[in-house]
Amino acid sequence: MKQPTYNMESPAAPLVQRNWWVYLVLILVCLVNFVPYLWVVMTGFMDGASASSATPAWFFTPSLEAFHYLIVEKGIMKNFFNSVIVSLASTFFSVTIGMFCAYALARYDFTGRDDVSFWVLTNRMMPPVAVLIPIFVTFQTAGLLDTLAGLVLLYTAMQLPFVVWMLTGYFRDIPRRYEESAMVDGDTWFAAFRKVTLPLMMPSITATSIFVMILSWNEFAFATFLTSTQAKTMPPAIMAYSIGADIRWNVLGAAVVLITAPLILFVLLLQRQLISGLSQGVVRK
Amino acid sequence: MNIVKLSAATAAGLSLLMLALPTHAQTEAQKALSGKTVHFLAPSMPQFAALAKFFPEFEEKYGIKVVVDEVPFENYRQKSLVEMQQGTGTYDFFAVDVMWLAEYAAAGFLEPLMPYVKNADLTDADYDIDDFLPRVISGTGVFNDTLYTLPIGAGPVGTTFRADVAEKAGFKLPERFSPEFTTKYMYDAAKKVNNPESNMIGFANIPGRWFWGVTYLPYLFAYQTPETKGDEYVDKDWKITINNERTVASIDYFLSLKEFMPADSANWGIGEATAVYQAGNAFGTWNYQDFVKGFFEDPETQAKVAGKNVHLHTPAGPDGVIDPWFGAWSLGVSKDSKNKEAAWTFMQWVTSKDVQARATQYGAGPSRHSTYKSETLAKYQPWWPGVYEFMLKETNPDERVRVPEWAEISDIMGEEGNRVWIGEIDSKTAAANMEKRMTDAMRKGGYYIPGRNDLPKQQWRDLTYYDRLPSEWN
Repeated sequence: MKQPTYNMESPAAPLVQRNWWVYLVLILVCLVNFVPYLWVVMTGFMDGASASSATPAWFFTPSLEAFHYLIVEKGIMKNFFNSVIVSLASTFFSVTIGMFCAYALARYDFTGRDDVSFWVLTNRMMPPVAVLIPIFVTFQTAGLLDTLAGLVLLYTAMQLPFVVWMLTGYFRDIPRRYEESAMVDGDTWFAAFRKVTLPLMMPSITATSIFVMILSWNEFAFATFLTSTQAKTMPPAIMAYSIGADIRWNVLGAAVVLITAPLILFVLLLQRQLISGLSQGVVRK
Repeated sequence: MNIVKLSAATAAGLSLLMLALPTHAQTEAQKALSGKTVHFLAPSMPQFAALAKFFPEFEEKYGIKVVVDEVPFENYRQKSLVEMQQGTGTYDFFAVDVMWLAEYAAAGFLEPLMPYVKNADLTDADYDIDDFLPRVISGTGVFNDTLYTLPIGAGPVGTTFRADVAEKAGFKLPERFSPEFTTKYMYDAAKKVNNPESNMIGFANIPGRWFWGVTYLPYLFAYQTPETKGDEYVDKDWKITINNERTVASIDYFLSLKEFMPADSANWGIGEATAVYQAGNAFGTWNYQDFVKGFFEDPETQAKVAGKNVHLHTPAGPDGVIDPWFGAWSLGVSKDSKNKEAAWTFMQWVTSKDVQARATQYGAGPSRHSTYKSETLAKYQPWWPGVYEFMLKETNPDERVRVPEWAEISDIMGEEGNRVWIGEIDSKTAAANMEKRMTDAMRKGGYYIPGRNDLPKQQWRDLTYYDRLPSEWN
């Protein structure tokens, strides 16, 4: 006996789109974004002759020549670890300090709050080159030239305005009554902040941390002028080793692999938090 | 054994012992420097990479450690200036471009070197300062009659062409400095082989704004007449002279090479043009003699073109005039160094006859008579010995006038020239604009103050100034 067929879908359910062209467009967008990077990575595994060849070759004999040059001959891993230390430390300090500044600006009403808020933003308006010499002189006087501590201090100060502005908006999106409820239950403001607000802010803090990390990791101008041999980070080292009077494409490719791999790993690990953080505030609760 | 035989035997024994000792025996003062570390700020360029191969040998011999901080060329000048200006003493010695010496020396950033050269405790006995080519050392390292830097390599600019492509097209390129190689010859040859559809452009020119001060000048000079030589930019009273028919003709010629280049080439610099040539897609391009080995003749990295090139001078103009361009990098001890003696010990070693000759195997250039005549140079860089006479007698250290205003003059030339390249203005307007703007720059520099009588001497009008023996400088 033939069984009757039933449509198990609720009439109120949204229509499921199965348009194949959506996937096609997505694949094309991914390709456009991914192929140049793939090509640069492939170049890193070519020898000098293949990398400078006029005819692009998708198939070639892989070579570690460029990596050997960077890692063994130039000792770039020292610059790599300098970058890791400086980026992680400056991200930690700027996000931690910036978080409390942002909280204060978002939650407390005090005289000159808007002025302070605007002043924080103006710190990002100046191009780095405008303050290069004063900062150089300050570093020289304080004995911070070519030190990791100096770079951490500088990057923390540089990224603070960004952190404060990002997080102030996010803090404002979290209703004050959540903390007030906790305080009614006997918590101090800090306990309320730690137990209620902070967990809600985690995606935003993560997203902000990723941006700060990227900015610190890629910073070039100050790293070039304020460091020499001990605290030099990856960006100036890569520029020096791969671009002389001409460009060594395979070395540049290998350098791109070395400088982007940690960031990609970092973003992949925190991807869920990042997306959640980026979308926070889009839908007002 | 009588006394005569004993003396003879002793003398023979001592002679043998002397022969067995290394030629560069260290002095007590040099030995005392063992354990020191010297810091060197250098741009990321092939000639410095060649020298770096010798650092371990130096460290082993003298016990002095050399730490190099390589900086991208684009940032090198700013970085070195900031360090020098602030007197950090971070670096014990610097690489100095020929065009920056006047500025650095006048500001007191560099240590005079002749006292070190003459110090037998710190300088090897066979250092022989007079072995350097006079115009090279005076043009590179002398300011106000005082020696401040030692050249590591110096050479002219030129052009590089693919001999195999010419042969296939049925012609043979002339020898270097042949009068046959003129601007007309170069254009005709490039046109003959130009075939972009087959990935072969006639000439990869360098019209990017920043580069006109080096890539256009060969044509500005080529279009002079024997009578106008020396008045390319200024007359004897420092009045700007650039607005004339020779400048216009040279810009037009430079622009004629545009027909061989892709539409997006307006900002091509040395990197872009060289990359096209290295990839085997250009018949000719610009070169600087010190780059030839690294850019075109290294079989490991330039497999497409190595061994197939002819390296010529830049072409002669309608009146047979060639560009006397002179470029060099040198080493200077920082005034703020705390290890001046150790830095000097390294500098005198790395610029010694022996090391300079050996370094040519890896692409370093010559600046000594002995290096030009060395077998190593002839074997590994055979394009160098041919420019020896030119560097001795023809080259002009002031081809780019060495005044503090040069950077601005060069920039004006590049900006106006590049506007012609992109079709915004014509060459006559560009020459007129150059004259007006350069005049303003010179006026700002105080050249036209009535009654002023301390203007710099125009040494290029009598090059014998640069022909003094190196040891005669202070």
